[in-house]
Amino acid sequence: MEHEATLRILVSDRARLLAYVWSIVRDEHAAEDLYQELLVVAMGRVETFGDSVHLLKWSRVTLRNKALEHLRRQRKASLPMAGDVLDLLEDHWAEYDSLDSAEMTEALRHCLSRLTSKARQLVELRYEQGLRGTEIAQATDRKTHSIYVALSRAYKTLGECIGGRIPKEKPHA
Amino acid sequence: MPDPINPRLAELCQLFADDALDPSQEEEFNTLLRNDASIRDAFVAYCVHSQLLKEMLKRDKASDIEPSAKATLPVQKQISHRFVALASIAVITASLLVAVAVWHYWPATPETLITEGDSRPESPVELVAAHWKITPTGEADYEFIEPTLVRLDRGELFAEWIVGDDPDQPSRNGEPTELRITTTEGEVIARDTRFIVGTHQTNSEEEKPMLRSLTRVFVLSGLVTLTTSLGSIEGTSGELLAAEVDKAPSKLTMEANSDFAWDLYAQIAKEDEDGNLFFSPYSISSALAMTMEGARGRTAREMGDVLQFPDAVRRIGVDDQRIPWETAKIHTGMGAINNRLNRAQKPYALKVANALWGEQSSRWRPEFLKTLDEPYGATLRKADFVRSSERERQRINQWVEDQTEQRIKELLPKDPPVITGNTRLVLTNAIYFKGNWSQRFDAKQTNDMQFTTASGEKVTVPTMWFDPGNADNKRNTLNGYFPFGYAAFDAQGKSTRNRGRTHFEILEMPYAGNELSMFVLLPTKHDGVPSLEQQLNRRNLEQWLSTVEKREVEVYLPKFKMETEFDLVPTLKALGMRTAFDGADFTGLCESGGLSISAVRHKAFVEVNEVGTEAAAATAVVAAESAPPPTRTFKALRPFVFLIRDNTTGSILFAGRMMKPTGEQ
Repeated sequence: MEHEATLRILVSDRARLLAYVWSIVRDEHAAEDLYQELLVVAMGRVETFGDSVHLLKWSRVTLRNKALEHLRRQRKASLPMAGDVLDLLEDHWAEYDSLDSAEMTEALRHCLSRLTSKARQLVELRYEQGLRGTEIAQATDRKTHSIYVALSRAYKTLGECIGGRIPKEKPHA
Repeated sequence: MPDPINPRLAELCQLFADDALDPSQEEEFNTLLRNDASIRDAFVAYCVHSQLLKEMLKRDKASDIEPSAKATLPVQKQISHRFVALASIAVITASLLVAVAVWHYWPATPETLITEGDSRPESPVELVAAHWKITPTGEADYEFIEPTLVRLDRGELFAEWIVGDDPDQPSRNGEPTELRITTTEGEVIARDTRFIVGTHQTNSEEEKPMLRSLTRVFVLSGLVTLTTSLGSIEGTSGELLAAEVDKAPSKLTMEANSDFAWDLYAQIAKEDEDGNLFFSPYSISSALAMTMEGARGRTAREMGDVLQFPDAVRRIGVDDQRIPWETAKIHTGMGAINNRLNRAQKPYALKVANALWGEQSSRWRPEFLKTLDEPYGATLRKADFVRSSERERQRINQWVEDQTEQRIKELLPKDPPVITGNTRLVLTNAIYFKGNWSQRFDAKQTNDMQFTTASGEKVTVPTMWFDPGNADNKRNTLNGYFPFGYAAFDAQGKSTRNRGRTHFEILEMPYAGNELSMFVLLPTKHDGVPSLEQQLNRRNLEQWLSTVEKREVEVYLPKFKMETEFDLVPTLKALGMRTAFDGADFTGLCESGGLSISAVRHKAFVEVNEVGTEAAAATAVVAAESAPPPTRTFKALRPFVFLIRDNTTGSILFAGRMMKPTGEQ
């Protein structure tokens, strides 16, 4: 592949790749660091990528290895997700490769407007301000458990709304 | 129809995101994901949606605050609007370390990487300012301060010089306009080039994680300069520049060099307990680090251990027995320090030079030569050791003389023969320094005084004197200018203000520009050097030097001049580097192998007098203390230890001890 095409794919898939690596390290700063490292490594070997499917699959494998190495350096004793589960999830991540992030963002924006104001406030505290469940509980003077329940309800509503607007394609491979 | 979201999964996802799953919930989470494809689908959707939500909400918030932030031109309108915000921007540059990595990830390509009009799904906005096209990627958080000054807080920007005409933003006289992008680590400056700059915060890998900031610049073509508080580094096409806090290669290298310096000092001091001593740890580290690049297996392990490479560069995984160290960080750090030391325009003379002299008939590994080329500037000079060893010896000695302003002659002696027909490679490092004291001594005040040696013998030596009571000096003092730093320590190495408990004192004598200083460590007793030397190590020294404070000090210091010469083979063997000299594996150097080190020579010269170089500068330091402490007298008329340090990087350029001055003028 050409440098330009490689870079364009990695940039346009930035959110999905960040989501992928976040699902392993669950630290948005580390995820961003690892994504930037991925950019550097990928640009040094563009000639080895056959097409976008190959590039994105390689990117996830590389990010997974980098994420596990990161966690090992952080001396994390165990991962919440088992290795075989990570393997099983691979096909599901691949399904998202063909989806348009801009379209998904628009769908999210639309679905967000359908949340109640209270639910939307929770979502904003969670995602815009990056607060943890315990921190939102403190900020809103509620119990942590009720925050988790409320957030999961808000997400359920959002997820169903988005799923209804953007039908998924089948995996590439 | 999409699968319905499992409510339990939705709840577990929230706990998962906060790392708050207990062991039984973890098990439940894994079981759900393992057994049901629709659950896996929903989980991936959750992760992707969460990321998009984060980016969307943050972007929307930024737009609310600055409605024009993501708009295309006119930039001029943004300037006045944004200039107000500039006052509140604190660009933190202190204590940042900078490094240049020499990995060639990005081959130069003349084609435009991103052409105008390309559709980039997540970065549709392009801002053009004075012949520069700035393209943000992802959730870049940036703003224009001026048409060619951009502040980047987070994310990545593509910057590309546009050759075409832009009637609204003409460049001056057709010359490329300089573009500056500031991040918390420093400033990226470019002309007529293309590059990507990315900055973000990340958690450090310390036991107590803390956020640190990291900026990377990937240079696609042309020349880009990254400037931080520690100086500037230039990168050309294919290079990655990085500026980060604390974990920079230059810091790792400095720490390794300093640890090695004091190990070496202790060993040399042990070999000659009573003599004067002077050497350049930095020079020896550089030459050995270059040599180590070609070492393999046990040879490399021993060399890295002796050079005190930190665990952070210990290689783990495939081939780690053969290549036990990730030396790229060390070379990168050396390169950064070399660049800093060799930079132009400084109020003292300091230069570091390296060279490789390789037998012309040998086949040197290109990767070895390439690795040393950029960080050390050590290009291979072909030599004919086989047929003309004497001529090559003279050639190398001449190079050393030239680099040291004729201060070091005959580094490689004719007798005993060091260069022979069997010589295949010589790695040389030369360092030269000449600086003025920021507070020069008055030559008229230099008088003969008695220096008491460790054995109690009295030696008469010309001694410089700084008298703070002198009218000019007094005026400076009243203006809050104290030229010297001083601290006193007890027998445990703890700072003390009690004269009775003082075990040793430290005097800091800065050179003009205040970037380099000589530190003199003076024991209270005339035979106290050995006891002080036992405490000399990097950590102690860092702690001691950090307590040195500017204050009024009356200084007596002998003028001295010293030349030293070392055969370091026995010293390095004693430190644990044995295989390199016998049964070595230097197959990383040369395809034929069979090489070992036959000699390590070191010569050093130092002369301390009232002036130093012709250049002159002055620095004022205003003391914060409300009541000045009483004047201390620092009389270095008994044996002492001294070192010259680059205060910015902490690199110890020279170290020595004066046991008995020769009294030379």
